[in-house]
Amino acid sequence: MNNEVYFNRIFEENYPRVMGLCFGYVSGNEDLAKDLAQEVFLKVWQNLNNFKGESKIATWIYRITVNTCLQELRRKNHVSLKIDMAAEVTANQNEKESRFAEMYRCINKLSPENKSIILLELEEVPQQEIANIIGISHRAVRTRIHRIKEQLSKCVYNEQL
Amino acid sequence: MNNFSDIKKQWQRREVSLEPETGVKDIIKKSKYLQKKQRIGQVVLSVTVAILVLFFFYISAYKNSEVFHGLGIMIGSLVIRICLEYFSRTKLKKLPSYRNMNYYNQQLISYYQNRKYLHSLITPLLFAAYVAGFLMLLPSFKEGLSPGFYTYILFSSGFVFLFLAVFIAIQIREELRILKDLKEEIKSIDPA
Repeated sequence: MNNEVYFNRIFEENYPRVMGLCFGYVSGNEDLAKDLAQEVFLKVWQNLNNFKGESKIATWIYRITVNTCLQELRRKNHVSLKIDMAAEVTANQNEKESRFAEMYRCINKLSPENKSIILLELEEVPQQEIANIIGISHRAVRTRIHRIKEQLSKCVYNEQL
Repeated sequence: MNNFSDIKKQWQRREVSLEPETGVKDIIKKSKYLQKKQRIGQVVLSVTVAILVLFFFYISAYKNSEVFHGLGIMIGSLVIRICLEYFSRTKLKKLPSYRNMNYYNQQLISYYQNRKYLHSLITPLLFAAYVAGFLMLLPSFKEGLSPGFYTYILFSSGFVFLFLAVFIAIQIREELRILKDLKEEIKSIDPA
């Protein structure tokens, strides 16, 4: 199959997943998420020849997404993001937006690795694949998810009180 | 919303724009543009190095050993720095982002540690060599230029060196911060 045709197919199939994950990393900032998603697919295209079929293509793309989002956030030092979030919270917002802001705030409190794990879990990626994306054992992922779920629920619940 | 399944339900109700604004063609176009930019960068780098080397040999025709050595040191340190920076940035772009997160982070740490070595040893040495080369040129400047222009060169180069030092320091601080963040991330990894 022609590389461009193949890339077009994986772009159409995986864009919503990538965008969903990027959205989580940048606390719902759509413009930043779109930029990140574009960066991710640029890397997918540039590295397509390195995909050897040892995992599902979606898992391979998720790896690029996690690594790209984390590195971009490190480089940008999230300053603008924190300002955006503060502005969002102080503005008059409806209850739904406020709930999402709380969720994002709680997710942002997690370490980068735990944040990645829980975002993948929220995107319903199977645990075995999460292990493959992060580079830890399936058992460790299971234990970790259990712990993060408790932490996150507690945080979101307390924020709402 | 006090349990995770509620959070998950909420999460799935997010209004995420899932329609891509840019298509595959734009991404491929951007990739080609970046490749072209990289090739242009290589050409500019080669031409700069060639011009500096040619200029050095042209100046050396004057057989003034102070100018010869001073300029040689300045050009040499500049060429080394440009080449190191170029190859280092190319290396960063080539890190395998398609490998798992922990492996990629280790690669990033190793990259930034090499950069730390570069910044803490090579960069100050090259900077000092560049300034030393310039200082070696001063007697010839004093001899050949008017006192006013000589004073102007002396003070303006002082400002340029200060600006360069601050600029390099800001960049180094930024990279050290990334390295620190990465190390903290690795340290915070729960073995469970």
